[in-house]
Amino acid sequence: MVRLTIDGSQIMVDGNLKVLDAAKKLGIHIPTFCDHPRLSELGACRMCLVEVEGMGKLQTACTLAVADGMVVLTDTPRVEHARKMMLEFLLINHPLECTVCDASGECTLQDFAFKYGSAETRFRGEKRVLRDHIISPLIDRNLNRCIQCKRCVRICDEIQGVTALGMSYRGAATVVGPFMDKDLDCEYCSHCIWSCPVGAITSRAMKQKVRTWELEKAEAICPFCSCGCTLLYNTRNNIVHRVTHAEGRGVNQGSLCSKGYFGYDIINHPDRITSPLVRDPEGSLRTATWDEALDTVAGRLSQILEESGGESIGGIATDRLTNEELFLFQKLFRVGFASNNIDIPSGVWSRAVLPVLEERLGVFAATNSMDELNYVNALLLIGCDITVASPIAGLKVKHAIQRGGLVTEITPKGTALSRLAKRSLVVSLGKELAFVKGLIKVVLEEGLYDEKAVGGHKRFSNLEFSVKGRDLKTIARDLDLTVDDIADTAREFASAQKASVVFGETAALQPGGQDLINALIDLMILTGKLGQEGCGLYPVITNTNFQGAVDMGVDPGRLPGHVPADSPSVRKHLEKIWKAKLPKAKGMNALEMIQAASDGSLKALYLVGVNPVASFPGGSGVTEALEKLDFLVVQELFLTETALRADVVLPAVSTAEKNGTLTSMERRIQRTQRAIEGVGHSMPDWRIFSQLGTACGKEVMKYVNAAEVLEEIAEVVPYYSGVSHRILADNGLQWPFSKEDAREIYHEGYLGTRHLLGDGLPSDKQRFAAVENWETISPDADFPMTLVLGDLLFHSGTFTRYSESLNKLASEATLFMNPQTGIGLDVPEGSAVRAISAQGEFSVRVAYAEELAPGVLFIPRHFANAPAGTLMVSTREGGTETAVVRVRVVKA
Amino acid sequence: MKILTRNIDRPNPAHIDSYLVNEGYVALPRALNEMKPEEVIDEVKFSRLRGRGGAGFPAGMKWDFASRDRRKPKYIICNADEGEPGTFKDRVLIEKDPHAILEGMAIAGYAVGAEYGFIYIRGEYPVGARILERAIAEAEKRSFLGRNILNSGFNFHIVVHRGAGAYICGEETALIESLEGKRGQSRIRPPFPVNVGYSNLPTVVNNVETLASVAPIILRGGNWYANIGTHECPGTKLYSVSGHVRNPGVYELPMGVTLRELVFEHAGGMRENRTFKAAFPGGASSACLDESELDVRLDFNSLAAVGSMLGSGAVMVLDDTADMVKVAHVLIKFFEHESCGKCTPCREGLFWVRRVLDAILEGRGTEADLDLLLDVCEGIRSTSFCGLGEASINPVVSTIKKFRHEYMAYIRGQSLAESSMEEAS
Repeated sequence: MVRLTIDGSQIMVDGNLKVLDAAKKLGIHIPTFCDHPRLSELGACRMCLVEVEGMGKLQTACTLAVADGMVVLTDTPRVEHARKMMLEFLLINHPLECTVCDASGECTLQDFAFKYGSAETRFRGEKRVLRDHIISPLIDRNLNRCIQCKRCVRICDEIQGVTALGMSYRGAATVVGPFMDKDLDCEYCSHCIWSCPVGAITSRAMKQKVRTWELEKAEAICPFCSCGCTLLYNTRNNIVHRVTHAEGRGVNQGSLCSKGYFGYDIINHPDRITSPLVRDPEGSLRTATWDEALDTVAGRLSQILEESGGESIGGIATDRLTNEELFLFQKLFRVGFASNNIDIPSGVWSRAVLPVLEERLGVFAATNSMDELNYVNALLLIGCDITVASPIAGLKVKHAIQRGGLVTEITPKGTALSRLAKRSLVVSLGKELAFVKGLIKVVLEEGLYDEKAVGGHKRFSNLEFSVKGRDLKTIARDLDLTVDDIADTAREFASAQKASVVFGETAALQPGGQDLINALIDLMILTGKLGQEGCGLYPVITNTNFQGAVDMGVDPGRLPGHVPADSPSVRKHLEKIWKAKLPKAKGMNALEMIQAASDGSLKALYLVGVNPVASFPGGSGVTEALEKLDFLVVQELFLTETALRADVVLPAVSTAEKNGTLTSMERRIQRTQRAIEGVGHSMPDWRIFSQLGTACGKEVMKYVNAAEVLEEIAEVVPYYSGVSHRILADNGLQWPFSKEDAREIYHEGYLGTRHLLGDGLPSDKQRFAAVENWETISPDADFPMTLVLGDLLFHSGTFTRYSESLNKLASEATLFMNPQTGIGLDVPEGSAVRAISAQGEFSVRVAYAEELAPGVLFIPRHFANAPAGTLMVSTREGGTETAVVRVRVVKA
Repeated sequence: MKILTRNIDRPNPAHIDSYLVNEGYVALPRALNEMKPEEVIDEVKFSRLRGRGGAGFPAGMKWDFASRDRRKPKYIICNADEGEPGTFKDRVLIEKDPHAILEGMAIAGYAVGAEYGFIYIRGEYPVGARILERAIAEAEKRSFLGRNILNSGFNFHIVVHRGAGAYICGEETALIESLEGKRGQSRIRPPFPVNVGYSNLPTVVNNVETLASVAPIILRGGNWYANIGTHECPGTKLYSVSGHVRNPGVYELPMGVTLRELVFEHAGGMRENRTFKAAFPGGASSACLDESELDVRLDFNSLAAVGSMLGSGAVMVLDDTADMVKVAHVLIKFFEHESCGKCTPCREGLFWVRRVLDAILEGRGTEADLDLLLDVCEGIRSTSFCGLGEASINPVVSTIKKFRHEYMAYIRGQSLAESSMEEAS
């Protein structure tokens, strides 16, 4: 600690601070342009010059380290003159076009010129005018407004790790932009827009649409993935005009991704459904009142229930809904329709992946927090393009790399991290298991395992036996890797204090994914990497509120809190509260429901925010099945391919238009708040479920607001005990926590459980799986290639197809393949091919991508020109999304 | 007195054999075999050798700082980015006596504990770069460089790196950035390169001339060297004399020679029928001296005392035909072009100063512009990030102060002769 004096006030501060920070602590404002709390120091703008006793020259407060006895003056004529001078310098070449500048009103230059500047300029003559051009469809650069503070360049490099922007040329001709003045090629994370203190880098999406000072800001949770980022909706007249970054807030600390920043235009999209629609006797959809629509739905469903029983009614709801809504959805089905036929589109995760974690570790979620990824010393990323699947978690991995963390990526396809990671190993799908077993082999042979962790574990010898079959050389040769690739990864992982495993859908959802997960868990147990800070197992499930849906019991076989549907005690407890008899038999999953619709045993289907026609396996079979239904209800924002076939369409709202809670990938229950009223006559999903339940005569479905639903959740859902909107107000809460903890939270700043298994593995879990297989996908002569159906960085499911901004970045699917594969198939880049699976086929154009493993194909699953569902084959777990399909490709 | 230029008039001077004839590579083995590293540093300290790049920082102290830093590896960088207009003295050493530089670097490496050296040579010196590379190969062959030099156990490797044409890269921290493959822009100091230099490791950056002075100091002792030149600025100095003199060129003279002696005794005086008007004693970024200052001594302290600077010792001499406004304009255009753009005052301020000078030269100037120029120049000087901006305005400020009437002539639309007459009367 050092003591210094600033403007006559003394302060004791940490000796590592800069004068600027110390002044801030004293409440003394020193103007800055280039300084940024998250970036390296630069000292370039010279705006923060201060006088320091004993130093002749003025000093930049942002770079000058505090020292004991230092006397700083920030408010002298010299300082004032220097500030005036800097502003005069900057304004020489800055165009005075505040009238049309989107940054006007939140421009640092404007503010400082007003506060510290001179009313007139002494500069005569022509300003420098730099010729500029459009560098991107979404990000506008205006070189003449640029004050060269380099914040965008530094944030792109130091925070995002992309280096899409740099400085070119020299002196007054210096320009910021992409390398060699090419088009911007980046992740569209929006950090550059965020960091620009003037209007040099702005969002084209809001260009001259609204003045910044007219906007109101409302904090909410981003709806696009399971990271659970905090953002600010900027609204005016019930329209969301833009999203801005909530500096320092939430798990993302303000950072956003392309979807979070640019995807808001879905909310006020002109195609939004604004009132209920009912199919008239002539067969066309017409506008109806809510009463009419809800009565129709209640009447028809009650009738079908009476005639054919609850088994003939099913519902599938998107896991973008809030916890309150998902809770009411399952309650509506169980209480109102005596049916367990409920599912989410990503149910394959909760039936094929999480049960492995439950069985092996006793947990039903990622073990650790996202934030811990920032500090890992070693990380295995398996089958997970984390920058795409979970952009902010990906950002944290980038930070770990910057801090010296050793990241090994095992992937069928190069990713944004390939360039940054310690090693990026392109391994064909189905062979990841051999790699992980290779790691186990090295750990065992070199004695790198954790004696203490392994001590009481059963089947240790089986584990040794399971990796005996192949020597390391053979494993490496088969994977087209070196022995060191495997051995060094194992050594780094085993010796790291904080080592974690992240796996994504191409690993988990491949046919033998459970073996792979089991092997990964064996590796973590063997090396003692569980139950500690920084040692976690993370399944990356993109869907926004997947965890919440699972917790709320939107599952044909599980009640709220992951409890099996046939559990007598829990059923009894719920029946008492809900005043109804709950169905006992396991219900149908989403795919089984489509199948049952097809064979006529399912009569009615209630779809909430899901579009099976576009995204479910089965292609045209899905459409045919839906048409066989007696009654189809679709609750949606848009008239999707599926909604067009509904008997009743109920207009729902986006996350920006409702209150509620969401549970992120790290078990964090967070509150999201309404920024605007629902457009037109649309209603929040929870209210629709509530009113429908009431219309069906179920008084227990009556609620006045989402908070009341949460009160019930707090009462009946394990893990959520004691939770309330008030408690969640600030940073949310990570389950599990006790009811007593929850009560304390509000006062103590308690945030819940950062990582699970803190007390070690339960004694009945202390065994190895000792997977015997070496491969998870066996060759298939008819369908020799492996197709990965995946996400693009700029899209999320089929939902973001409604964002005009995101469509500017990508709006059509192409089939990506390694050039070698392309040449082998004799399909040049740009040519049309047919992709054929056991399920179906479609035609699509080919693009070459070096970063794909030979024989592996990639197609984005978002777009109508290549409906992924056509190719997808149902899995035995009944998932409706599977990431890996065996195909063959022929010339079209 | 020939110390630095002792070898340049020999036949084939750059060849190692020519160097060896005249006590070449005698100092290095002496240092390696007979002296401890700290004794080498002490010897350089005794010599009171000051850096010849322009700042005049005591070389021995710099080495001492770097040697005390325990982090490894350390680096010696020879700053051969000789870019100051009017400066061409390092080129003579590089092309005519490269081994003197290499020997100095190896001794510096031994003294501070560095095993690697870089020569950062300006891109416009392709011949020099080739000569240095050849010299390094020659020295390695005879074990004066490379692994286990002369069986002493000391390793020292030198790599030549060519710059890409930016003046700012002569500034030591910008040079290091450039060497690391980054955009050539100055770094925040402190920390200084002696602790946080190349790859953030301890690094000594010395000028060519400084390093070439090392071997003679080790051979004859620091005290011998300290007795040459003036007390504060010992040793000999290479002066690059250019401009309106009869014999422009590089002159090695004891530090502290007067401007008059240099111009009129060594450089042959002014051109025929012309009289001395002004001189920039330390390159383009120094304040000019007028006729009344001919007896000023050309050393660090004497020039600083009269508000100018020795810089790299580039003496640009102007006779009565020179138009001082145009001189200031051409020099400021150079600095405007070479401003790296990092900091506001240098980037925007020089643009502004040049525009005002444009206006004056085009007859659109006013007397108030001169006060504006002085104010803006003071703003640039006092707030710039690095020395480039700080010194860049010296030619403008000094010409306004010493030749204001020439500016007034443009402002009033008079010829220079009319204005001079007015001045006289």
